[in-house]
Amino acid sequence: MFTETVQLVQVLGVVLVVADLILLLAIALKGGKVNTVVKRLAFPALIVLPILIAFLGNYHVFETSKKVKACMQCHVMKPFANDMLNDTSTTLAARHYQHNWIPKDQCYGCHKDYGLNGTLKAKLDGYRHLMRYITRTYVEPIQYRGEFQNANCLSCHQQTKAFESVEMHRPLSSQFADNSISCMNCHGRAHPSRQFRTPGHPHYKDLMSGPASSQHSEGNTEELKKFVESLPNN
Amino acid sequence: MRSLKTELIFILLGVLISIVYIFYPTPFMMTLFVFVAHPLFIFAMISFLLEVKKDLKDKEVL
Repeated sequence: MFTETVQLVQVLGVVLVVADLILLLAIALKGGKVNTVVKRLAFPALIVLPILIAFLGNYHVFETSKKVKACMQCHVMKPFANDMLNDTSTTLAARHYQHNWIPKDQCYGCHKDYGLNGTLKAKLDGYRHLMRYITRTYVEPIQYRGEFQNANCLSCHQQTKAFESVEMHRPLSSQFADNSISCMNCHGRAHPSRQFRTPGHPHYKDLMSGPASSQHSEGNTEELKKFVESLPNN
Repeated sequence: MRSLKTELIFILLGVLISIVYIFYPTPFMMTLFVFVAHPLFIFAMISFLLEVKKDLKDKEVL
């Protein structure tokens, strides 16, 4: 489906661009003289077709930026994506991916806050990330800015039998709602730790080189146990 | 109406950036599309529309 949509966008893009280039060339060949013909060509060449091309490009931005492949294109996201694709990893992201709990657009599925505000915020954050990445104004390991919303987990898990059957979830419903307790407090890390993602760390190279060569098992039982034990009791 | 050379060049650049981005959606191309192609389109369109308005006023249509 994704490939078909992208191919359709590409074909449409070529058609519109070729049409616009022909019109622009026809105007340019008039050598700067603005006559009736140029006036008739100028409206589609300078207004209608560019609007359609920009609309198509924006649709492409919104569609492709949801894909895991799009996230993986940035150097700083590689440790996250490679860990997710690593079938020996037990991080939440990897477990969701390996079990196909989120069938498509896995990064976007968890990181887009729900509702229209969430979508807009995700897009604005995306542009900010893009500028930081292109201008190289970031420091590895990158940090999550803001607070991860439990609603992103609950939108799928809440009201499922598996969720409701866990007694511990019931008294915590208000804390889940106001984010005063995070799902990850009990369910472990979503991604490799900052330590693992720091350049120079022994696991950094594995995380950067791809899922096939990733030998680590971030979030293994022992580590998870240590992490849960390190949490405050209140 | 004056020559539309600037508008033509801006639209041409914007269109070329857009088509390259559609085929190669890399972070660099996405930045060019969002932060360069869009302002080029907007500037060219506004400039053209202002020129049309001026032309229509000169001919006392508006």
